[in-house]
Amino acid sequence: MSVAMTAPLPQKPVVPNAVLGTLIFVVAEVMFFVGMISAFTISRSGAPAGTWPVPGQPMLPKDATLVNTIALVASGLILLVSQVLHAKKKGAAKWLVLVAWLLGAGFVVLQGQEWARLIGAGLTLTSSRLGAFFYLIVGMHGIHAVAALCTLGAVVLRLVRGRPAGGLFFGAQVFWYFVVLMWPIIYARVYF
Amino acid sequence: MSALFLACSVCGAGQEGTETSYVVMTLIVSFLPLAMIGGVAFWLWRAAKQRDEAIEAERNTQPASEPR
Repeated sequence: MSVAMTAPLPQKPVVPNAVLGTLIFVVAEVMFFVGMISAFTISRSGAPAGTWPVPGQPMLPKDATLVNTIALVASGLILLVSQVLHAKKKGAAKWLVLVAWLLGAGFVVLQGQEWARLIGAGLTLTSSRLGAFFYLIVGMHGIHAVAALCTLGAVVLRLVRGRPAGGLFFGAQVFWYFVVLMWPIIYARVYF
Repeated sequence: MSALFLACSVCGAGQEGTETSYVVMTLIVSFLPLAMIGGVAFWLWRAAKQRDEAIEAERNTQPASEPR
């Protein structure tokens, strides 16, 4: 009597642990930002006519920030392309990740320059409610952008050295997409 | 007086716009986490299903080992 034997196949995880962990973190962070945007929206709608923004305070730089926004969104799109290429052409993928990192770093630097200008013009954390919300929301996003850039930078280093980035690459991508997708919402809500 | 009502931007102003914003943001803050958790759970379920199907297909294409 013969019995057909089938060897058990190794179980693959559904998603890498780094991706699942980052996703859970991102869900919590989305609620953190939504809470702040909610407070901002309600506060703004309750401001008496003619007091938002406070007369005499500088206007937020919508046009300059639009350039930053385009750079950040482009960075996210380039990272998406690098993800597609990662499986096929690792050599090309690592340079695309580097370009995405540089665009993200440019966004942070330009935002810093805007902040310096606004503070110089008199918009500070305590000068008005708009100032308080602006620095809180945009500042928190900036901190997340810097943290995501550090993670993405570690991925770039690994890829340039020819070492596999594995779960770190995908986890860093999820975190960067969160930073990229959160920004247009903040821009549309706070700057207009 | 102004300092008193600015202390609570939600309940103090009493304007229709504030109330609308309050209701809309409450709905968003209430349902967004449920939608996100549901979305992640659905995505995981679908990915697990696809993985199982791929394993099953691989198992079916593999030749059975020789009988002892």
